[in-house]
Amino acid sequence: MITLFDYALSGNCFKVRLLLNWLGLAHEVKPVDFYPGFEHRSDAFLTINPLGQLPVIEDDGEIIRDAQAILVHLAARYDPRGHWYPLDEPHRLGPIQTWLAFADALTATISAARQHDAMFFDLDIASARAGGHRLLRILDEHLWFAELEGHDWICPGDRPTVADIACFPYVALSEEGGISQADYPAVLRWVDRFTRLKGFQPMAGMLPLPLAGAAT
Amino acid sequence: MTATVAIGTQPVALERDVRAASLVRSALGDMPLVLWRCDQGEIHVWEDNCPHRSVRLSAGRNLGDCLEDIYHGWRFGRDGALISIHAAKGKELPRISARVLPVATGSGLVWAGAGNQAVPPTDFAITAGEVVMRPLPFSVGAASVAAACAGLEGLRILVSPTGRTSATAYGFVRRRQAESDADAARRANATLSAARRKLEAAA
Ligand code: FES
Repeated sequence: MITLFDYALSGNCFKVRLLLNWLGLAHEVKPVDFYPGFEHRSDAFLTINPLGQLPVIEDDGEIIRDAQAILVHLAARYDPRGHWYPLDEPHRLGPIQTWLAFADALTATISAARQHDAMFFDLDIASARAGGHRLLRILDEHLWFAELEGHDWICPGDRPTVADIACFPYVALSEEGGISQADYPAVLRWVDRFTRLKGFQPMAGMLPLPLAGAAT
Repeated sequence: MTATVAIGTQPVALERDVRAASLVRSALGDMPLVLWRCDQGEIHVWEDNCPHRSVRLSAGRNLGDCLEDIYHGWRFGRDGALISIHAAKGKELPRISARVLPVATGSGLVWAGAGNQAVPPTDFAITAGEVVMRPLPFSVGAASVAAACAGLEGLRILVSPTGRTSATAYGFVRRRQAESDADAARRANATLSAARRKLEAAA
């Protein structure tokens, strides 16, 4: 049985919930009151994750922390077709890993800006926003040229991978941190494609679902 | 080669980037824009502002024959006029309309005009051997962008102001011998990005 230590408004928890649902994995959710309760800084939670970060999962008695690590764990272990993390195609893993690290940088910038705006965290908001724009420029350029070569997803292939799941939430939520998406049309098209994936459910703060079945 | 600031009528997107069933955001100077392709294949450019309560229309949906606002679900037809209100079945509709801008297409670009019509400049049309570049947004004003891009080899650039201190560079790159279109676009994008880094660092 998998237990997810979860906070509903966290983009990093959202991505884990997405993959759990896409893989059809039964799991138990243990809500952690990140804000305003700051329960992630409690002694009880710090024994589970000394870094005081969400999400964390417990799978068969093993604790796995870090959103990207959890995505890799779940996909490698429970997706026998290897769609989300193609273990059988080693040449694809390096690029996927690169974008998983990029997702971490999104957390450090866009998620921080959002915590500042929505949860009143004290941090350097100008530098968080500038960092977010820098990353969105990089992603927009990457996706624009990927489209030119006929690819819909962050890493070449017919289907999205954990790289897309990892990058999606904070990109889609950037405006909650005061980071406008207006200058990133290729990013917006990718967000649009992602939200049309079968079974996708948005979290609070994301743009509404486009019409189901509409042409792309 | 050349770089100038677009005046009156300016590029606001690449034609191929405006797709069915989706919405594109852009700007004409200080005015935010929403672009949408209707189910008849035509591209519409409106001010990105709902005439009801000023919500950004681009957060809504392109339903093919109309654009639906996200907030109260008011729908605006191709000519911008309000055509339905969810909550007001049978009642008379207020006569309001989204602000519709004149549009033109040409050289792979979508053009919008600030006045009564959109007339792309005759000296900025793509020629044989040229490839449309990826538009590049800058966080400095259009005049500085044009000045910084004027000397870039093989590029012809038209800069669209998207605010007082922001602009987007559109343009064409001359393909080199044995170079693919994609490679030419990549090379131009790298050249322009380098110019942007320098310009923004200086600003
Ligand atoms: S604000 Fe657009 S419908 Fe009310």
